[in-house]
Amino acid sequence: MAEEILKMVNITKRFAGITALDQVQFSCSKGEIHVLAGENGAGKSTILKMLAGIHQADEGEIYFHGKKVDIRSPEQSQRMGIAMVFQELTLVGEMTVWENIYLNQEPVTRLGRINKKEIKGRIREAMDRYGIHIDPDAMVSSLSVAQQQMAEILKILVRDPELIILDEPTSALARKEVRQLCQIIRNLIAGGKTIIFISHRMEEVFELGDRITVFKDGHYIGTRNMTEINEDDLIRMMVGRSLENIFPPAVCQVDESQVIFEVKNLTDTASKVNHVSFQVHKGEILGVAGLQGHGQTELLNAISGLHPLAGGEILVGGSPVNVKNSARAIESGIALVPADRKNQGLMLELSNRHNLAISSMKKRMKGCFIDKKAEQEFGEAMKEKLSIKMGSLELPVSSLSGGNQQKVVLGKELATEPRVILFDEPTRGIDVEAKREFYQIMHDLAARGVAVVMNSSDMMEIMGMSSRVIVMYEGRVSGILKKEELSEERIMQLGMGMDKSRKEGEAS
Amino acid sequence: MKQALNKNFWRRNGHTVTIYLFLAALMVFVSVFNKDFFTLGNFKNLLRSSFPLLMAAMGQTLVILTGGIDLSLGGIVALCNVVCVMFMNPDSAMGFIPALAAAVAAGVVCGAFNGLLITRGRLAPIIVTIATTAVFDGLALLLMPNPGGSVHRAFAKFLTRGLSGAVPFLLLVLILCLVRNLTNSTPYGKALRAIGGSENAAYSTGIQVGRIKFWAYCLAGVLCAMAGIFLSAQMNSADATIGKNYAMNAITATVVGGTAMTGAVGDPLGTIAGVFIISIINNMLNLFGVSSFYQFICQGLILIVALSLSAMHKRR
Repeated sequence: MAEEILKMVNITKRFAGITALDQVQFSCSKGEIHVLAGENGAGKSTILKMLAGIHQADEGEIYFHGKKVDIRSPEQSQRMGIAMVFQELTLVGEMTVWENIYLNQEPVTRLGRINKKEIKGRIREAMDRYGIHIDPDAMVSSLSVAQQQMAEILKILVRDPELIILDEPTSALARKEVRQLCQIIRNLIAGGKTIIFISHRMEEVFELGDRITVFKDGHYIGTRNMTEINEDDLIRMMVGRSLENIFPPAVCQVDESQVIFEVKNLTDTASKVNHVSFQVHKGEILGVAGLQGHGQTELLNAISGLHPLAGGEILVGGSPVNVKNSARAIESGIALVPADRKNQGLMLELSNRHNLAISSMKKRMKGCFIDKKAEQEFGEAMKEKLSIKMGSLELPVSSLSGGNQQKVVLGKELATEPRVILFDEPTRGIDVEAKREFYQIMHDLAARGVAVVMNSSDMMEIMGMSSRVIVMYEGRVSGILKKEELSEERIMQLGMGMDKSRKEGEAS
Repeated sequence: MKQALNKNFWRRNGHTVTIYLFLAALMVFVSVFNKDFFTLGNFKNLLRSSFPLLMAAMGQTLVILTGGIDLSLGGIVALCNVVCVMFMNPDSAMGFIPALAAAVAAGVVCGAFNGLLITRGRLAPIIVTIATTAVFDGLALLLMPNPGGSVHRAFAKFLTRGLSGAVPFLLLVLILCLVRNLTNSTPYGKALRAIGGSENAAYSTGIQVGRIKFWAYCLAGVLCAMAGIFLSAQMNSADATIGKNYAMNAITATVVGGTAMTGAVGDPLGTIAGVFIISIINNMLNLFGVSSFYQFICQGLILIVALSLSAMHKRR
């Protein structure tokens, strides 16, 4: 057994009262490629960011080379010989590739000036060695995302760290670059480095990994040697959990003969949404699933006029609508309950009444003034209808619990009398009781003939609520599952883009 | 290889070259109306009257590169001006040395005060420096309610007119070289720009963001001290209200000179051209006998035009 280079014991981390990591373990031997796996929100990035000095643990100990350490800043982490490629890039767009790669690491001449010649020489050498080809003088903002990712990796490599952490490094890369990266990783291991690797692509996980550790909902599930397990075992480790039955039954039958909302070939300008098509039938709740960052939020935003579209058609009740901005989308009967209610959904310091009324103010006018009395009545009616628990309509919305805040957002949207309502992570950060009420409201809406589309990263929610599910992978719909076909395993497979390879495998 | 070099040169310095071409065109235009424009005497005058703003604007450029802003530059200039004159002993041969030391110290302290509030206090630079403007202005007035004092004669003459007028020029070249080297060729400068580009990225890269920003405000303070010292030599006295237009003019010059208000992109060399453009336009308006009220309006318009151009550039 090789030397244990890193050991993390009983790590706990809370964010604003929510436990992100609960007494988890993680360890790493010198010279191995250790894969860290788990669903969205399992806490993978959180624990690795502790090693990078971005987060600090609330409880637990970290040992590096057998010595207890306390990593307080990224600077300290780097000095210890740890380097991390983050999921979100850390390059400065307004600077050139070479400036970014050697940022904070610049060799200087005797006069204290940056030794450009040496930097460029070293970069050329590193690029040749690893087979990466990017113009060192190019501005980072002019590069493609894949090129930026490679520059980011190069930035880590020139720092010559002992322990390299890669947080989903391949999510932005094309096949050829992924292969290139795999080769780089193998070279690094041959050079005596240790690598921790998060990836959702099964291919790479099995091709590269020596061992794998699985987290789930902030808990440690287990560590296995890669040779001991297969894909199905791994997916079982990642998903298995007890099913709490908090989902009410659907109120009405789906009428498949009536399409009330349809999207055709929707494509955005940022290539996050790629030729997406789907239909919603009368009485249906359509689930949108996938791993985080595969275009789900952008899809909902694009439909509601918040994200620029490059092409495609949106049909509400059979007639095409134009959603060039959110005002037009609302006029067309499309409403969005956004994922980030505190920033996008509510004006936290304003009153409940004001928040509820804001989207439908023009319906209650007396001449050019707002009819206060009508607004009051409207507020009371909404409060009643959605059973929002509040002290008074006049208190700021920030005084409510998360679940009731979310109901205010919903009430605000319902006031526009939408024919299509899009929910983005509708129950994030709200308690079970409020969730159940929310689910009931969604069913009622569907029964009344409103098209309901729900994006959620919570598997249970997707499985429990949807009549049908579209799974997204890299901005495309990688599969549509009917209620009877739904299983966590199927969704995970589609969400990891495994479906195609599997079918081909079966055919041959 | 040669072509690649040219491409990089344009990518880095295209804006600076453009702004100097504009400055040259402006000078030719002005010389049509003012036959004496292209004379050595006029250039000496122009430099003398622009020198304090040149210093303050370079300080502003450092701060804006980090994505911050310093509205208190005028207050610092005034305070340093007052402090410099107060510590001046006009009669002793070396009487100007304590004055220089005191003025520079005052500049550093003011800058450090801003820097601490912004980095340690995590307050927005714009709010902090609006507040400290009042503090510095008030302090200056407290120390010297009425303009006055006297300055070491030989020192004042040397600083403004020494070596037949070459001293301010040499001083400008020296300070510009130092500042430009700092921003363009040292790790400190890259860190400064990285913070302006993306503070999170800079932090994740291991840059000590707070420390770098703190020193940017301190350096701006030192440069304002230079401005205050020069003003005392120029006026042979001190005036606690001298600084009132510096902050805005320094921002205008920085933006005209091609530095982005959002940080990261810019060059102190461009800022120098920005200062001269403002000075020459003001000169020209004086020459045409336009009232100073219109000069203010004109200055505001220049800032708006420069901001729009830089926004357009960014969108493209």
